[in-house]
Amino acid sequence: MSAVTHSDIALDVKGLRLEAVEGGRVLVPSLDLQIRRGEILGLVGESGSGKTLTCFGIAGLLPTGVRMTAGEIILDGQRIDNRSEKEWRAIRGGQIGMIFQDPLSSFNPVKTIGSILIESARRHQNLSKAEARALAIDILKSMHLPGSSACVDAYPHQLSGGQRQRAMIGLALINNPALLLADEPTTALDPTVQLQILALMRRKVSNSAGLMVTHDIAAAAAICDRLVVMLEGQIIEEGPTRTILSAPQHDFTRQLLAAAPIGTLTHGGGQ
Amino acid sequence: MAIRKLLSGFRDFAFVLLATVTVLFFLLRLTGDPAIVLAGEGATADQIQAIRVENGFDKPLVTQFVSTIFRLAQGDFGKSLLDGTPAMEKVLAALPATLMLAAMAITLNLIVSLPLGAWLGQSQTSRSRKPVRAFLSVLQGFPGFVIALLLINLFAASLEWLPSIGFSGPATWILPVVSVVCFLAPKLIRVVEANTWAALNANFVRTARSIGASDNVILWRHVLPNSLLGAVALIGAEIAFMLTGLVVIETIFAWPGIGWLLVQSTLNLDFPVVQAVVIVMVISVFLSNALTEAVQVILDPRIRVGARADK
Repeated sequence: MSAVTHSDIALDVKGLRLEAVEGGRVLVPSLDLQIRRGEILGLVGESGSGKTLTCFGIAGLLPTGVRMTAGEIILDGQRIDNRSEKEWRAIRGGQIGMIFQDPLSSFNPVKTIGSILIESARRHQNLSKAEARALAIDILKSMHLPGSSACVDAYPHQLSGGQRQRAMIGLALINNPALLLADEPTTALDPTVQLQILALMRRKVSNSAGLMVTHDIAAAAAICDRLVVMLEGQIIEEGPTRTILSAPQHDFTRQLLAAAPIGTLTHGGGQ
Repeated sequence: MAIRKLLSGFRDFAFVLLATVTVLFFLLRLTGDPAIVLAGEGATADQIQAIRVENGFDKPLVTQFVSTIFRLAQGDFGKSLLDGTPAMEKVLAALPATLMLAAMAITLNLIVSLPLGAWLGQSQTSRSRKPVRAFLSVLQGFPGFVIALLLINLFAASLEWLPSIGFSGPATWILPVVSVVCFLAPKLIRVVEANTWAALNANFVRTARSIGASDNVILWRHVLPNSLLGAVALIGAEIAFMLTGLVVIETIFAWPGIGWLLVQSTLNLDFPVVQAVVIVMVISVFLSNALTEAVQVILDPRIRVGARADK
């Protein structure tokens, strides 16, 4: 393994602590994560393990009722967790792109796919309406959406689940973010479509960093370079995907691996 | 496709109109004998009988009904029994006043309800919204005529700021319009509030946040179009209500619209005018329903454009 220099690290999370506002229940006591440039990290665990909260916490999008009480989030060498809401808005969509679980409900039903891509591009880049539209069509094309120039004017309900998720990845990447956060990006999709979406994400994250949150260890194994296994708010195991697949140290990791469908555990990351 | 829809809409309309006119015809005949009213006090039986014959009220009910339908089909709405002016002429003369009241009321209603509903929908817990919600609950509990009488009592009788009745310039418009809005707005505000709250918690709002949109942009550009969609049906129903249900408000404020005309004509047993008013009301409701449907189709792409074939 080559030496990790400071500039290699895209995301550095130090001692992240998340608590419920009412009652002060600790949801994530203290979490450390590092993602290098070009790397995809898989954050794996069951529902309620704190993996999704961690992901939203990194984007400053914690649900009301949860707050970050300690720790630092450093993106590209800059601390971002102490920024004002206005500065956060420049980071979200600009330096951090996000992909969500259900691509249908994640798009506004009364707005075209293109309108949200154009809004994001114009918010973070100094573009005219026409330039932003051209960029939106380009990015949809690069997501292999059939009829990309028509897709830009399509409403979410007119696309299939896989097409919508491709458009969502396009939305997340339209401003070339340093970090791509994906929360269960394949859970709502058909198994055959899942693999296509994962392959697409793998290709597109080559010059930024990715964090994929999932309960599906097979999906994570398919594209992640390293895995972090979470249980009840804490990291119980982490390491290169290959190592964790072949020699899991923790009982819970073994249970997760045993629960994955037979024959789906193929390590496709970092190749 | 569009033509077939238009035709079926027209068929429905013709059916509703025929049913309404039928029910109305027999109900009106139950209310009394217009010949007695027309003849006035102290008229002899012969005079009353003469009026009956003159207007055809002496013929069997079924004959009267058939000839009424026949004449209506030809666009003949009959003449007012009171003064002999064509019934439809009377109604069309009164219609602008009702349309004006309805237009002013719906405009003010939208101006008040959309922003207020959106504001209330932004938070379920904030303290500043509590008294507003409480006030709206109380207001919603009041029937329209009680609100109108309270407003008259306060602004016309006690403070003497505004005229209470009539139809002569903007000062006389204020109380009737405000009365109608006080009655209609709480419902619309509630619906916009509920829809805004639901839309704000929808996943697409999280997506809007994830691209760095501010709360204001999210509320106005992403949430309001969705909450408006849910409110269109109610707005349409409120318009239809105003075209037919302003009878009480128009009577209280002596507003010379079709509601007021309906009450006067019913009291005078002026059957042709009552009939003409009701027909105009049926047409108005039908048109406002069709308009509501059209607006819904325009606003909701899920109805407007079908799924793509290559899906």
